[in-house]
Amino acid sequence: MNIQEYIQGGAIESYVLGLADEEDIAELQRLRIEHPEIAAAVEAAENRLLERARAQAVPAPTRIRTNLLQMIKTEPAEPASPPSIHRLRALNRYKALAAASVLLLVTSLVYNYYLHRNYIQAVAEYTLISNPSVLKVPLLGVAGKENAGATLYWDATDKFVYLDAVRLPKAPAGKQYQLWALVDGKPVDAGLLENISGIRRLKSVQKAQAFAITLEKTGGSPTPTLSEMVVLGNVRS
Amino acid sequence: MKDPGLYSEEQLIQRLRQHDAAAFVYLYDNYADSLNGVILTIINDRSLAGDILQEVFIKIWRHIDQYDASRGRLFTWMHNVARNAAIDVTRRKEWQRTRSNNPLTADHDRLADNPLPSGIDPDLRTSVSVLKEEHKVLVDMSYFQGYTQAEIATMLGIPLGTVKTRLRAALTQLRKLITT
Repeated sequence: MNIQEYIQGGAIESYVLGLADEEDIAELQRLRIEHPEIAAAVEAAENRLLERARAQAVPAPTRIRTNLLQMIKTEPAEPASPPSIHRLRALNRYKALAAASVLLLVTSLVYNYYLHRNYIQAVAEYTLISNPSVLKVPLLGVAGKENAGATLYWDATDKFVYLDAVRLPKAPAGKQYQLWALVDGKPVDAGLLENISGIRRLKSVQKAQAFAITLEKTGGSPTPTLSEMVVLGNVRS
Repeated sequence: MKDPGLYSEEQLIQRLRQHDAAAFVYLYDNYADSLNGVILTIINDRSLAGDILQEVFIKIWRHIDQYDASRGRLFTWMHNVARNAAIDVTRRKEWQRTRSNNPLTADHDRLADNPLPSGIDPDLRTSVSVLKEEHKVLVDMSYFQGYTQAEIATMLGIPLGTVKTRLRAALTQLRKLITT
């Protein structure tokens, strides 16, 4: 198929505006994985939608905000901690992903660096988060560190943990973040975080009730410095 | 908690899934006016649009788990929730009865003496009104009235493939009109 024709042909706008039917949606979901240009065009169309809506915003009546604030006060909210685990959906796209990975290796030199890097990242993340045997554990900022956060993915088949730590502040010089698995009340080292962006794989963890990240000296510590804990998340099955 | 960019999109979604009230207020403060504008393109009645906006945010609060990040950005989903909520109201009997007093969807643009209602998206309206008739009808029926492409095919007695081709052509044209 001609990728440019698809991008120019209105299918992406139809999808973004919510006018596409299931067949159109399935086609677009497949194509955006196979073709980074299409993925980028979908993203651009979504950004245009938001920009246009912002440009044409109309102030909402103030009563609505008041009503909603009242509503969320009375509505039973889940406790902020421990966070729940969202069992991720199976998307049955492994074949497409495998094909996409091969395609990527072959054609990687052709794509410009920015697009390519994001695409690799997106495919890796997509593979991980769409795997039904992977549990997602949100790690939330502890008191005083509310703006910090990370997401941990735990693969039930090989027990490896993956961490997406984009919302951790940069570790100061001489310091490094360390992930801990809390196993029956005892912290067990689950790996050190390098200063790289995106999802990275850490150690294999057989069993844990919770995960936490502390700031330690470079190279890590045998036991966590609890006063330097940044984020924490419980595992619930 | 109003600083723009306080949360990354992913973090915001994560906190909404945990029913974090501060994240919800942040979401409201950042997107309510935009979604209000979206609703007003379909329901040109500020008071009613406000009620719909409230329903939309209640739905977001209660059903954030229905949002699927693999399908698109959070705003794209919210935009659809808002559009669908507005369309649902246009289908109510009470609304249909008052419709003669409240210009509603793009088909009114075809009435020569009916000016564009104020307060609604002038770009989209103006753009839609210059489309070819066969294209305008499709944007109107799908975007503004919420019919599926299959329903439109049945209603207009044309093949589904033709509906898709024409709708896509119309959207391509709209994109060009709006972005240039």
